[in-house]
Amino acid sequence: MMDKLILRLLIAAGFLSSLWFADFWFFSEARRDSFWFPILTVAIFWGIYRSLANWALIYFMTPSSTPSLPETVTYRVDVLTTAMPGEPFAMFEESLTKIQAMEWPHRTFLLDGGNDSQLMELCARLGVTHVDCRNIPGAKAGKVNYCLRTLSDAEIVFIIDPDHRPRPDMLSRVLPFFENSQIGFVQVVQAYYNTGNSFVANAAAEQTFSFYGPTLMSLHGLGIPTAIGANCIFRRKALDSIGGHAEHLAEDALTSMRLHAEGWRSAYLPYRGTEGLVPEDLGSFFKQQVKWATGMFEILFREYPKLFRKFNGVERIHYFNAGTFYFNGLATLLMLLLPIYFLFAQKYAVEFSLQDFILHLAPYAICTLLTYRFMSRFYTHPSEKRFPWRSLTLEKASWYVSCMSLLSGLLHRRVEYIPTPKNSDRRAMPMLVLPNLIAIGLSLLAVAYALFAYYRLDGGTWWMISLALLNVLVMVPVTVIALFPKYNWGSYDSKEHR
Amino acid sequence: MIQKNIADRPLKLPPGPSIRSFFLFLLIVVAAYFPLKKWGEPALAEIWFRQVICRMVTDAHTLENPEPGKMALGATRPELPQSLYGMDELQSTFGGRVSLISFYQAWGEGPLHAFPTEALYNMRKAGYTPMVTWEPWLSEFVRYGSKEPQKSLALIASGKLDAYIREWARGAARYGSPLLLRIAHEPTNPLYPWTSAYGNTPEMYGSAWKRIRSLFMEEGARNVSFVWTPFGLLDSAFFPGKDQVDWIGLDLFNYGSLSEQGTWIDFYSLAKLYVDQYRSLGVPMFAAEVGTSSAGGSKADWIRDMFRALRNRDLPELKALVLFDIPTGRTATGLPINWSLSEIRGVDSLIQREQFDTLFSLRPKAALRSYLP
Repeated sequence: MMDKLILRLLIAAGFLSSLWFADFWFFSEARRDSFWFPILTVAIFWGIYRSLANWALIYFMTPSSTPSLPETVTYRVDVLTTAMPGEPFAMFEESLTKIQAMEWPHRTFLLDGGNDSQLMELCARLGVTHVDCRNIPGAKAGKVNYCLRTLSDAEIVFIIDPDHRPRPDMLSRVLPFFENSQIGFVQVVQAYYNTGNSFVANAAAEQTFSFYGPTLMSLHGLGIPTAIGANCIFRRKALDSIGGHAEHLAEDALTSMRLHAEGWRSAYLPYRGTEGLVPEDLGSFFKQQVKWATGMFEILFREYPKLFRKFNGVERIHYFNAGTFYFNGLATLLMLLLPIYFLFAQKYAVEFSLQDFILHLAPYAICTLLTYRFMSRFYTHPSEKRFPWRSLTLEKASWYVSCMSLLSGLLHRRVEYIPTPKNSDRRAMPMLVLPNLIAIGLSLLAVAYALFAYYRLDGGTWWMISLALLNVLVMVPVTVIALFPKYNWGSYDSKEHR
Repeated sequence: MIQKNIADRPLKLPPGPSIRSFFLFLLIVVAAYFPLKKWGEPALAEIWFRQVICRMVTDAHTLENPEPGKMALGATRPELPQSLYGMDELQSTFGGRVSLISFYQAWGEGPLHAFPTEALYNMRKAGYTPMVTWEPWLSEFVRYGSKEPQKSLALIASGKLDAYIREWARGAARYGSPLLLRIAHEPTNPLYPWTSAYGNTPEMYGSAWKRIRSLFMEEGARNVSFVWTPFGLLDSAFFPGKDQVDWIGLDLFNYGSLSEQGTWIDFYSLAKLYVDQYRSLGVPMFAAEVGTSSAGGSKADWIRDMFRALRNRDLPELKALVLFDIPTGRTATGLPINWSLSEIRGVDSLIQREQFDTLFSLRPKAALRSYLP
């Protein structure tokens, strides 16, 4: 009850402070450049729009727990996992053992894209059905659909990535949700066991903390948590109603969209049911981002309009917000370029004094931080409660990945579906951070130019200088770990856990 | 395994807040914004002003003079403060060495008489240090406009105009950068109602001055330098005190044949009279208005002589020179007089560029670029 009150107050304060800033931004007395002001407005208000969407979403936050299950009920469950050539054998050994160790009776299928003899032997030993999927098109989803058509006939299908190790009570905790006949799928937390290995792993995992906490809890309140490809439990009937698992770069997001459009609801259980791998090096992380971002843009441009008529109002808004998430990269690009341009050209988009700007932005910034702080009490693990600077800098540093994905999405360029790499690369990767290096260099040059060439630095210039320096500060950590990988791996001496 | 049709056994999930309640919530929040803004914003602005803005004000009671041993050059133009185009022309004439900008504002209500924030921001951005001559006229005050114009000093001293002065001072504090403020200049000039010609005494003048200055200090406007300007040579009685005045700004005009005595006087002799007269007050000096008529002599010669005198360091007391480039002046008896520099062709030929460079300090770099080749 108290939580609910604090939450409402924070949301109200968030909306009020955003209104106050917008009021100042658009209606206060200041000269505005008719060309640059709208552009700067887009760059700044993109972040505010994301915050507002987030505040609106967490209004519906409903932490759920496992409903109790009548003892007479049981379900037949098939567990589907996939293998691709080149993935480490040790990983399969471990995760298949864990999958087989789940208490609830189930059958397991390993959909092998390489028909590896070692894996066949392992499957025979563990009692897993090995399926030869060498000639099945459509990546992971293609294999899953093939299996659903030919071998699997259970009413519940648990699709799990081979790097994920489920807990023994995973199924028994989740299955009671299916007692509600509207529930099409149930999502649980995706935790990681390699977050301590590197900075990137730590930061990439950090990016998911609020997603597997407040975000999915709020979507649960609305009945539409998203499915995540790595560990989601579907009702067979639901998958059949949309013609099987979607085959797409962002197959999980598209599958949940189609299911929700079809009228199925979903549930989220804040339970750390499985533990998997998170990318440890920047290369793998960026590859994963390219896949997700391009997938989300393609969904936004091609699939969202098709499903729009079938969605209800909440779904329309939610999937628009989700589909536009990776525009963050474009906003970051604008925020990188604008200070550089303004400092060199000695131009102003709008002539606020720095003090007035800070005064009007401060409440919004404070509300954002307070909300973040408060939200962290809904995270699923105590270790997740910390200031998320790592994830922030990693997200900002991937701006150009999102921008390139936007291009691919717009031009409908083919991006190969590759499973997120399971091996880490420990070399320096200067090419990966070249855009960031250029951005850092230009920002510093622009600041130096302003300090030397301007005689008097007034409020507007200070404002731009602080923006440029902030950009540098945000870009530096990821750039450093890409150039000097030893800082990524830190003192942690990699245990070969695979 | 037991098989069971699961579709017909509904299980209730804990219901979340409804969409309708969210929109109601949103409506209340948006509706609350307007009263909150109305009552909350002034309070917040006051805290912000006292705690942040006031601390950021530049402490300045001197003229900014980046190059030691040189004078600052300034000018006033009829189109100021609205436009800087005339200043741009002067800059090209004087090699970008004009660093002071001088303009006039009358007291009163309404935007024309409020603190000229935007104009000063523009000047600062272009690299100028502004000097505002702030004239306590009453005609633009709704309550006091009908009173006799000579009452302004008494009204100030009695605190009746405090609200206006405070608001203006707060604007100056917000502006935050060095600013020269010339209040009630020329206290014996019969053209102005705040002068002895209208029955105002030195005591009234002094107490009004002190009140204004103390209000400025209360509002945290430490960036303001107070400039006192005498009219004739016998105005020492009107001097508000050494602790009240940061600069003496001298108005030095050669009326030529239009003067009372009808005599032409060169810059050096004129300035020397004033400097000698007011040196004993112990406050640094500069020439706040300098101009010459062309009645009875050559304007070009007068200006050339002025530059020569300054170059020879004949008047080391003068720390700055502000040219009065205004075509529509008037003599004390009301005759029209043209002080404009544009009457002379090629002002820049009156003095060699190198000598000029050693005399006047350079103007801010950023602004310079557009004027120098």
